Amino acid sequence: METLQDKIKLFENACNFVQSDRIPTYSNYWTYIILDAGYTLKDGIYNTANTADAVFRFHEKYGFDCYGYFGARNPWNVTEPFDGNHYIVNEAAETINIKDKILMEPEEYDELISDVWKFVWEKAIPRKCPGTLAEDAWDRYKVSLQAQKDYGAFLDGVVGKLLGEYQVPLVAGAWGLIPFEMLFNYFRGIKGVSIDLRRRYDKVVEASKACEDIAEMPAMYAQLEGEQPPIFAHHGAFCLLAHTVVSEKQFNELFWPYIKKAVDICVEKGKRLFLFTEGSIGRFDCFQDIPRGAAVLQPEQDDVFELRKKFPQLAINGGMSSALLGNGTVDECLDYAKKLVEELGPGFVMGQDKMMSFRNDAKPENILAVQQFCKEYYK
Amino acid sequence: MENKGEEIKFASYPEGWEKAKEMIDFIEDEDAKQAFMIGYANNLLRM
Repeated sequence: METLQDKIKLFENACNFVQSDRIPTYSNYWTYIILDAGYTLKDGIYNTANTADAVFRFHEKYGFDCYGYFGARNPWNVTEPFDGNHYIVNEAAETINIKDKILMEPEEYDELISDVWKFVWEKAIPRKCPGTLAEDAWDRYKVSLQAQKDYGAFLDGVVGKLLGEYQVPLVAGAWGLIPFEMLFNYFRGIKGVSIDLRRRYDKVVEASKACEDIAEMPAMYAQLEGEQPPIFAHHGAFCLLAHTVVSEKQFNELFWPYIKKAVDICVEKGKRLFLFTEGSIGRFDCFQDIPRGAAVLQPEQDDVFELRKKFPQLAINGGMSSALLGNGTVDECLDYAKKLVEELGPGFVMGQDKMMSFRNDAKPENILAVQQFCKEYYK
Repeated sequence: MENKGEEIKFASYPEGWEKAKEMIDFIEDEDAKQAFMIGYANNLLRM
Protein backbone atom coordinates (compact mmCIF):
# COMPACT_ATOMS: atom_id res chain seq x y z
CA MET A 1 0.00 0.00 0.00
CA GLU A 2 1.28 3.45 -0.90
CA THR A 3 1.95 5.64 2.09
CA LEU A 4 1.08 9.27 2.60
CA GLN A 5 4.68 10.19 1.80
CA ASP A 6 4.60 8.12 -1.40
CA LYS A 7 1.65 10.14 -2.59
CA ILE A 8 3.18 13.47 -1.61
CA LYS A 9 6.25 12.44 -3.63
CA LEU A 10 4.03 11.93 -6.69
CA PHE A 11 2.93 15.57 -6.51
CA GLU A 12 6.45 16.81 -5.82
CA ASN A 13 7.72 14.88 -8.84
CA ALA A 14 4.97 16.21 -11.09
CA CYS A 15 5.70 19.76 -10.00
CA ASN A 16 9.37 19.23 -10.94
CA PHE A 17 8.63 17.35 -14.19
CA VAL A 18 10.06 14.12 -12.82
CA GLN A 19 8.29 10.98 -13.99
CA SER A 20 6.94 8.69 -11.27
CA ASP A 21 5.90 5.08 -11.66
CA ARG A 22 2.33 6.19 -12.14
CA ILE A 23 0.30 9.32 -12.86
CA PRO A 24 -0.93 11.15 -9.76
CA THR A 25 -4.63 11.98 -9.68
CA TYR A 26 -6.45 14.94 -8.16
CA SER A 27 -10.15 15.11 -7.43
CA ASN A 28 -11.80 18.35 -8.47
CA TYR A 29 -15.14 16.75 -7.59
CA TRP A 30 -17.24 18.92 -5.30
CA THR A 31 -21.01 18.74 -4.98
CA TYR A 32 -20.83 15.69 -7.27
CA ILE A 33 -19.49 13.76 -4.27
CA ILE A 34 -22.69 14.43 -2.32
CA LEU A 35 -24.91 13.40 -5.22
CA ASP A 36 -22.82 10.34 -6.09
CA ALA A 37 -23.38 9.07 -2.54
CA GLY A 38 -27.14 9.33 -3.00
CA TYR A 39 -27.76 12.28 -0.69
CA THR A 40 -29.85 15.31 -1.47
CA LEU A 41 -27.82 18.50 -1.38
CA LYS A 42 -29.22 19.68 1.95
CA ASP A 43 -28.95 16.25 3.60
CA GLY A 44 -25.40 15.91 2.35
CA ILE A 45 -24.25 19.34 3.45
CA TYR A 46 -26.16 20.32 6.61
CA ASN A 47 -25.66 16.91 8.20
CA THR A 48 -21.90 16.63 8.51
CA ALA A 49 -22.08 12.89 9.27
CA ASN A 50 -23.55 12.51 5.80
CA THR A 51 -20.89 14.79 4.33
CA ALA A 52 -18.15 12.67 5.84
CA ASP A 53 -19.84 9.48 4.68
CA ALA A 54 -20.05 10.84 1.12
CA VAL A 55 -16.36 11.84 1.11
CA PHE A 56 -15.18 8.48 2.43
CA ARG A 57 -17.39 6.48 0.07
CA PHE A 58 -16.16 8.54 -2.87
CA HIS A 59 -12.56 7.81 -1.92
CA GLU A 60 -13.19 4.10 -1.43
CA LYS A 61 -14.93 3.94 -4.79
CA TYR A 62 -12.50 5.96 -6.93
CA GLY A 63 -9.28 6.32 -4.90
CA PHE A 64 -7.89 9.73 -5.89
CA ASP A 65 -4.53 10.79 -4.50
CA CYS A 66 -5.73 14.17 -3.23
CA TYR A 67 -9.06 15.95 -2.83
CA GLY A 68 -9.95 19.56 -3.50
CA TYR A 69 -13.20 18.96 -1.65
CA PHE A 70 -13.26 16.84 1.47
CA GLY A 71 -16.27 18.44 3.13
CA ALA A 72 -14.82 21.90 3.80
CA ARG A 73 -17.03 24.25 1.89
CA ASN A 74 -20.46 25.17 3.20
CA PRO A 75 -20.70 25.81 6.94
CA TRP A 76 -24.19 27.21 6.57
CA ASN A 77 -25.01 26.27 10.16
CA VAL A 78 -22.62 29.04 11.22
CA THR A 79 -24.41 31.88 9.41
CA GLU A 80 -28.01 30.76 9.68
CA PRO A 81 -28.43 31.68 13.37
CA PHE A 82 -27.88 35.25 12.12
CA ASP A 83 -30.19 34.80 9.10
CA GLY A 84 -27.13 35.17 6.89
CA ASN A 85 -27.21 32.31 4.38
CA HIS A 86 -27.05 33.74 0.86
CA TYR A 87 -27.09 30.38 -0.90
CA ILE A 88 -30.02 29.11 -2.93
CA VAL A 89 -30.41 25.34 -2.99
CA ASN A 90 -32.61 23.84 -5.68
CA GLU A 91 -33.03 20.15 -4.88
CA ALA A 92 -35.04 19.40 -8.02
CA ALA A 93 -32.35 20.80 -10.30
CA GLU A 94 -29.56 19.68 -7.90
CA THR A 95 -27.97 23.11 -8.02
CA ILE A 96 -26.53 25.55 -5.49
CA ASN A 97 -26.33 29.22 -6.41
CA ILE A 98 -25.22 32.26 -4.48
CA LYS A 99 -26.56 35.79 -4.67
CA ASP A 100 -24.13 38.44 -5.89
CA LYS A 101 -24.20 40.50 -2.73
CA ILE A 102 -23.26 44.12 -2.14
CA LEU A 103 -22.10 44.71 1.43
CA MET A 104 -20.41 48.04 0.75
CA GLU A 105 -21.64 51.04 -1.21
CA PRO A 106 -19.17 52.82 -3.51
CA GLU A 107 -19.05 55.90 -1.28
CA GLU A 108 -17.89 53.74 1.65
CA TYR A 109 -14.44 52.92 0.30
CA ASP A 110 -12.74 55.45 2.58
CA GLU A 111 -14.51 54.02 5.60
CA LEU A 112 -13.25 50.52 4.80
CA ILE A 113 -9.74 51.79 4.08
CA SER A 114 -9.50 53.73 7.36
CA ASP A 115 -10.49 50.76 9.57
CA VAL A 116 -11.28 47.57 7.74
CA TRP A 117 -12.18 45.53 10.81
CA LYS A 118 -14.55 48.18 12.15
CA PHE A 119 -16.23 48.33 8.76
CA VAL A 120 -16.48 44.55 8.48
CA TRP A 121 -17.83 43.98 11.97
CA GLU A 122 -20.20 46.95 12.16
CA LYS A 123 -21.44 47.20 8.57
CA ALA A 124 -20.54 44.39 6.18
CA ILE A 125 -21.40 41.46 8.44
CA PRO A 126 -24.68 43.02 9.71
CA ARG A 127 -25.76 43.60 6.10
CA LYS A 128 -24.98 39.97 5.26
CA CYS A 129 -26.22 38.60 8.60
CA PRO A 130 -29.00 40.89 9.88
CA GLY A 131 -29.41 38.77 13.01
CA THR A 132 -26.18 40.30 14.34
CA LEU A 133 -28.22 43.46 14.98
CA ALA A 134 -31.09 41.66 16.75
CA GLU A 135 -31.75 42.09 20.46
CA ASP A 136 -30.90 38.44 21.00
CA ALA A 137 -27.70 38.64 18.93
CA TRP A 138 -25.54 37.25 21.73
CA ASP A 139 -27.80 34.22 22.12
CA ARG A 140 -27.63 33.70 18.37
CA TYR A 141 -23.86 34.02 18.56
CA LYS A 142 -23.69 31.13 21.04
CA VAL A 143 -25.51 28.91 18.54
CA SER A 144 -23.35 30.12 15.67
CA LEU A 145 -20.14 29.71 17.65
CA GLN A 146 -21.09 26.16 18.60
CA ALA A 147 -21.76 25.45 14.92
CA GLN A 148 -18.32 26.79 14.01
CA LYS A 149 -16.77 24.63 16.72
CA ASP A 150 -18.72 21.56 15.55
CA TYR A 151 -17.68 22.27 11.97
CA GLY A 152 -14.03 22.34 13.01
CA ALA A 153 -14.42 19.04 14.87
CA PHE A 154 -16.11 17.50 11.82
CA LEU A 155 -13.26 18.61 9.56
CA ASP A 156 -10.67 17.33 12.03
CA GLY A 157 -12.37 13.93 11.91
CA VAL A 158 -12.43 13.80 8.12
CA VAL A 159 -8.84 14.97 7.83
CA GLY A 160 -7.72 12.44 10.44
CA LYS A 161 -9.23 9.56 8.50
CA LEU A 162 -7.89 10.78 5.14
CA LEU A 163 -4.38 11.15 6.52
CA GLY A 164 -4.45 8.03 8.67
CA GLU A 165 -6.57 5.22 7.29
CA TYR A 166 -6.48 6.33 3.65
CA GLN A 167 -2.98 7.85 3.60
CA VAL A 168 -4.23 10.74 1.46
CA PRO A 169 -2.46 14.14 1.70
CA LEU A 170 -4.31 17.44 1.96
CA VAL A 171 -3.94 19.87 -0.92
CA ALA A 172 -1.94 22.54 0.91
CA GLY A 173 -1.20 23.91 4.35
CA ALA A 174 -1.15 27.67 3.87
CA TRP A 175 -4.12 29.17 2.06
CA GLY A 176 -4.23 32.82 1.10
CA LEU A 177 -6.92 34.92 -0.46
CA ILE A 178 -5.85 37.69 -2.81
CA PRO A 179 -7.26 40.76 -1.02
CA PHE A 180 -9.00 42.04 -4.17
CA GLU A 181 -11.06 38.84 -4.01
CA MET A 182 -12.66 40.25 -0.84
CA LEU A 183 -14.00 43.19 -2.85
CA PHE A 184 -15.18 40.93 -5.65
CA ASN A 185 -16.68 38.11 -3.58
CA TYR A 186 -17.94 39.94 -0.52
CA PHE A 187 -17.99 43.71 -0.39
CA ARG A 188 -18.85 45.08 -3.83
CA GLY A 189 -20.00 42.04 -5.79
CA ILE A 190 -19.11 41.23 -9.38
CA LYS A 191 -21.06 44.08 -10.92
CA GLY A 192 -20.02 46.66 -8.34
CA VAL A 193 -16.32 45.91 -8.45
CA SER A 194 -16.36 45.82 -12.26
CA ILE A 195 -17.70 49.38 -12.28
CA ASP A 196 -15.26 50.46 -9.57
CA LEU A 197 -12.28 49.20 -11.59
CA ARG A 198 -13.21 51.82 -14.19
CA ARG A 199 -14.52 54.67 -12.04
CA ARG A 200 -12.46 54.56 -8.83
CA TYR A 201 -9.47 52.34 -9.48
CA ASP A 202 -7.23 54.09 -6.94
CA LYS A 203 -9.75 53.33 -4.20
CA VAL A 204 -9.88 49.69 -5.29
CA VAL A 205 -6.10 49.47 -4.94
CA GLU A 206 -6.16 51.12 -1.50
CA ALA A 207 -9.03 48.96 -0.29
CA SER A 208 -7.29 45.80 -1.49
CA LYS A 209 -4.23 46.70 0.57
CA ALA A 210 -6.46 47.37 3.57
CA CYS A 211 -7.94 43.88 3.24
CA GLU A 212 -4.62 42.00 3.51
CA ASP A 213 -5.20 41.11 7.15
CA ILE A 214 -8.77 39.87 6.83
CA ALA A 215 -7.75 37.95 3.70
CA GLU A 216 -5.25 36.19 5.98
CA MET A 217 -2.24 36.99 3.80
CA PRO A 218 0.17 37.58 6.73
CA ALA A 219 -0.84 34.23 8.19
CA MET A 220 -0.27 32.52 4.86
CA TYR A 221 3.23 33.95 4.48
CA ALA A 222 4.08 33.04 8.08
CA GLN A 223 2.99 29.44 7.53
CA LEU A 224 4.95 29.22 4.30
CA GLU A 225 8.03 30.62 6.01
CA GLY A 226 7.78 28.16 8.88
CA GLU A 227 7.92 24.42 9.35
CA GLN A 228 4.88 22.57 8.05
CA PRO A 229 3.90 19.00 8.89
CA PRO A 230 4.54 16.53 6.02
CA ILE A 231 0.87 15.98 5.26
CA PHE A 232 0.36 18.25 2.25
CA ALA A 233 0.64 17.64 -1.49
CA HIS A 234 1.72 21.28 -1.78
CA HIS A 235 2.69 23.87 0.80
CA GLY A 236 0.63 26.93 -0.11
CA ALA A 237 -2.39 27.64 -2.27
CA PHE A 238 -4.41 30.41 -3.83
CA CYS A 239 -7.87 30.11 -5.31
CA LEU A 240 -8.26 32.79 -7.98
CA LEU A 241 -11.65 33.87 -9.29
CA ALA A 242 -11.74 37.67 -9.41
CA HIS A 243 -9.00 37.83 -12.07
CA THR A 244 -11.80 37.18 -14.52
CA VAL A 245 -12.81 40.86 -14.38
CA VAL A 246 -9.40 42.60 -14.46
CA SER A 247 -7.01 43.60 -17.23
CA GLU A 248 -3.45 42.31 -17.34
CA LYS A 249 -2.19 45.65 -16.03
CA GLN A 250 -4.62 45.49 -13.14
CA PHE A 251 -3.69 41.85 -12.48
CA ASN A 252 -0.06 42.86 -12.23
CA GLU A 253 -0.95 45.36 -9.51
CA LEU A 254 -3.79 43.64 -7.64
CA PHE A 255 -2.78 39.97 -7.81
CA TRP A 256 0.76 39.36 -8.88
CA PRO A 257 2.62 40.93 -5.90
CA TYR A 258 0.90 38.50 -3.52
CA ILE A 259 1.55 35.48 -5.72
CA LYS A 260 5.15 36.59 -6.37
CA LYS A 261 5.85 36.94 -2.64
CA ALA A 262 4.53 33.43 -1.98
CA VAL A 263 6.51 32.08 -4.95
CA ASP A 264 9.69 33.72 -3.65
CA ILE A 265 9.19 32.09 -0.25
CA CYS A 266 8.61 28.73 -1.92
CA VAL A 267 11.78 29.08 -3.99
CA GLU A 268 13.79 29.97 -0.89
CA LYS A 269 12.31 27.17 1.21
CA GLY A 270 12.06 24.46 -1.45
CA LYS A 271 8.27 24.51 -1.30
CA ARG A 272 5.54 24.73 -3.92
CA LEU A 273 2.22 26.46 -4.54
CA PHE A 274 -1.07 25.13 -5.82
CA LEU A 275 -2.74 27.76 -7.99
CA PHE A 276 -6.41 27.02 -8.47
CA THR A 277 -7.41 29.35 -11.30
CA GLU A 278 -11.10 29.46 -12.05
CA GLY A 279 -12.06 30.93 -15.42
CA SER A 280 -9.05 31.54 -17.69
CA ILE A 281 -5.49 32.45 -16.65
CA GLY A 282 -3.48 32.09 -19.88
CA ARG A 283 -3.56 35.79 -20.77
CA PHE A 284 -1.39 36.79 -17.78
CA ASP A 285 2.26 36.72 -18.87
CA CYS A 286 3.61 37.08 -15.33
CA PHE A 287 3.14 33.36 -14.70
CA GLN A 288 6.11 32.86 -17.03
CA ASP A 289 8.25 34.24 -14.18
CA ILE A 290 7.44 31.39 -11.78
CA PRO A 291 10.42 28.99 -11.71
CA ARG A 292 9.93 25.31 -12.42
CA GLY A 293 9.06 23.40 -9.29
CA ALA A 294 7.64 26.37 -7.39
CA ALA A 295 4.02 26.01 -8.45
CA VAL A 296 1.44 23.88 -10.17
CA LEU A 297 -1.52 25.30 -12.08
CA GLN A 298 -5.05 23.95 -11.72
CA PRO A 299 -6.66 25.58 -14.77
CA GLU A 300 -10.32 25.56 -15.59
CA GLN A 301 -11.32 27.10 -18.92
CA ASP A 302 -7.87 27.33 -20.49
CA ASP A 303 -6.79 24.89 -23.19
CA VAL A 304 -4.15 22.97 -21.24
CA PHE A 305 -2.07 22.27 -24.36
CA GLU A 306 -1.88 26.00 -25.16
CA LEU A 307 -1.20 26.70 -21.50
CA ARG A 308 1.80 24.36 -21.57
CA LYS A 309 3.19 26.19 -24.61
CA LYS A 310 2.84 29.54 -22.86
CA PHE A 311 4.07 28.39 -19.44
CA PRO A 312 6.35 25.44 -20.28
CA GLN A 313 7.93 25.46 -16.82
CA LEU A 314 4.66 25.08 -14.91
CA ALA A 315 3.18 21.70 -14.09
CA ILE A 316 -0.51 21.34 -14.83
CA ASN A 317 -3.01 19.73 -12.49
CA GLY A 318 -6.26 19.15 -14.36
CA GLY A 319 -7.11 18.78 -18.01
CA MET A 320 -9.51 15.84 -18.03
CA SER A 321 -12.54 16.97 -19.97
CA SER A 322 -15.77 17.07 -17.97
CA ALA A 323 -17.65 17.05 -21.27
CA LEU A 324 -16.14 13.65 -22.01
CA LEU A 325 -16.43 12.34 -18.46
CA GLY A 326 -20.09 13.25 -18.47
CA ASN A 327 -21.12 12.50 -22.02
CA GLY A 328 -18.40 10.39 -23.63
CA THR A 329 -17.71 6.69 -23.70
CA VAL A 330 -15.00 4.96 -21.68
CA ASP A 331 -12.87 4.65 -24.81
CA GLU A 332 -13.24 8.34 -25.62
CA CYS A 333 -12.19 9.25 -22.08
CA LEU A 334 -9.18 6.95 -22.22
CA ASP A 335 -8.10 8.32 -25.60
CA TYR A 336 -8.18 11.84 -24.20
CA ALA A 337 -6.44 10.81 -20.98
CA LYS A 338 -3.65 9.30 -23.08
CA LYS A 339 -3.35 12.48 -25.14
CA LEU A 340 -3.05 14.52 -21.94
CA VAL A 341 -0.28 12.34 -20.54
CA GLU A 342 1.65 12.05 -23.78
CA GLU A 343 1.55 15.78 -24.58
CA LEU A 344 1.94 17.19 -21.08
CA GLY A 345 4.56 14.69 -19.97
CA PRO A 346 5.66 14.14 -16.41
CA GLY A 347 4.74 17.68 -15.33
CA PHE A 348 1.13 16.66 -15.11
CA VAL A 349 -1.43 15.57 -12.53
CA MET A 350 -4.66 14.08 -13.83
CA GLY A 351 -7.49 16.31 -12.67
CA GLN A 352 -10.73 17.60 -14.10
CA ASP A 353 -11.23 20.79 -16.09
CA LYS A 354 -13.86 22.28 -13.78
CA MET A 355 -15.31 21.97 -10.30
CA MET A 356 -17.45 18.88 -10.79
CA SER A 357 -20.80 19.88 -9.36
CA PHE A 358 -23.60 18.17 -11.23
CA ARG A 359 -24.66 14.56 -11.54
CA ASN A 360 -24.15 14.72 -15.31
CA ASP A 361 -20.60 16.04 -15.00
CA ALA A 362 -19.27 12.48 -14.96
CA LYS A 363 -20.33 8.90 -15.39
CA PRO A 364 -18.92 6.68 -12.62
CA GLU A 365 -17.58 4.18 -15.15
CA ASN A 366 -15.62 6.95 -16.88
CA ILE A 367 -14.09 8.14 -13.60
CA LEU A 368 -13.08 4.58 -12.75
CA ALA A 369 -11.58 3.95 -16.18
CA VAL A 370 -9.41 7.08 -16.08
CA GLN A 371 -8.29 6.28 -12.54
CA GLN A 372 -7.25 2.78 -13.60
CA PHE A 373 -5.45 4.20 -16.64
CA CYS A 374 -3.42 6.50 -14.38
CA LYS A 375 -2.34 3.59 -12.21
CA GLU A 376 -1.16 1.48 -15.14
CA TYR A 377 0.13 3.83 -17.84
CA TYR A 378 3.79 3.92 -16.81
CA LYS A 379 3.94 0.28 -15.66
CA MET B 1 -15.83 47.42 28.59
CA GLU B 2 -16.63 45.46 31.74
CA ASN B 3 -18.81 48.29 33.06
CA LYS B 4 -21.02 48.16 30.00
CA GLY B 5 -21.91 44.53 30.73
CA GLU B 6 -24.74 43.27 28.55
CA GLU B 7 -25.09 46.67 26.89
CA ILE B 8 -22.32 45.81 24.49
CA LYS B 9 -23.77 45.37 21.04
CA PHE B 10 -22.59 42.38 19.07
CA ALA B 11 -22.11 44.47 15.95
CA SER B 12 -19.76 46.98 17.56
CA TYR B 13 -16.02 47.24 17.10
CA PRO B 14 -13.82 46.72 18.99
CA GLU B 15 -16.18 46.12 21.96
CA GLY B 16 -18.44 43.51 20.37
CA TRP B 17 -15.52 41.84 18.63
CA GLU B 18 -13.57 41.56 21.87
CA LYS B 19 -16.53 40.21 23.80
CA ALA B 20 -17.19 37.69 21.03
CA LYS B 21 -13.56 36.66 21.23
CA GLU B 22 -13.70 36.29 25.00
CA MET B 23 -16.65 33.93 24.67
CA ILE B 24 -14.50 31.44 22.74
CA ASP B 25 -13.91 29.27 25.77
CA PHE B 26 -12.58 26.24 23.91
CA ILE B 27 -9.36 27.99 22.85
CA GLU B 28 -6.88 29.29 25.39
CA ASP B 29 -4.12 30.88 23.34
CA GLU B 30 -4.87 34.54 22.54
CA ASP B 31 -3.27 34.44 19.09
CA ALA B 32 -5.23 31.31 18.26
CA LYS B 33 -8.43 33.03 19.41
CA GLN B 34 -7.71 35.97 17.13
CA ALA B 35 -7.03 33.61 14.22
CA PHE B 36 -10.28 31.79 14.98
CA MET B 37 -12.18 35.10 14.96
CA ILE B 38 -10.72 36.03 11.57
CA GLY B 39 -11.81 32.68 10.15
CA TYR B 40 -15.21 33.06 11.80
CA ALA B 41 -15.72 36.55 10.37
CA ASN B 42 -14.77 35.23 6.94
CA ASN B 43 -17.37 32.50 7.25
CA LEU B 44 -20.04 35.06 8.19
CA LEU B 45 -19.14 37.05 5.08
CA ARG B 46 -18.71 34.09 2.79
CA MET B 47 -21.48 31.62 3.60
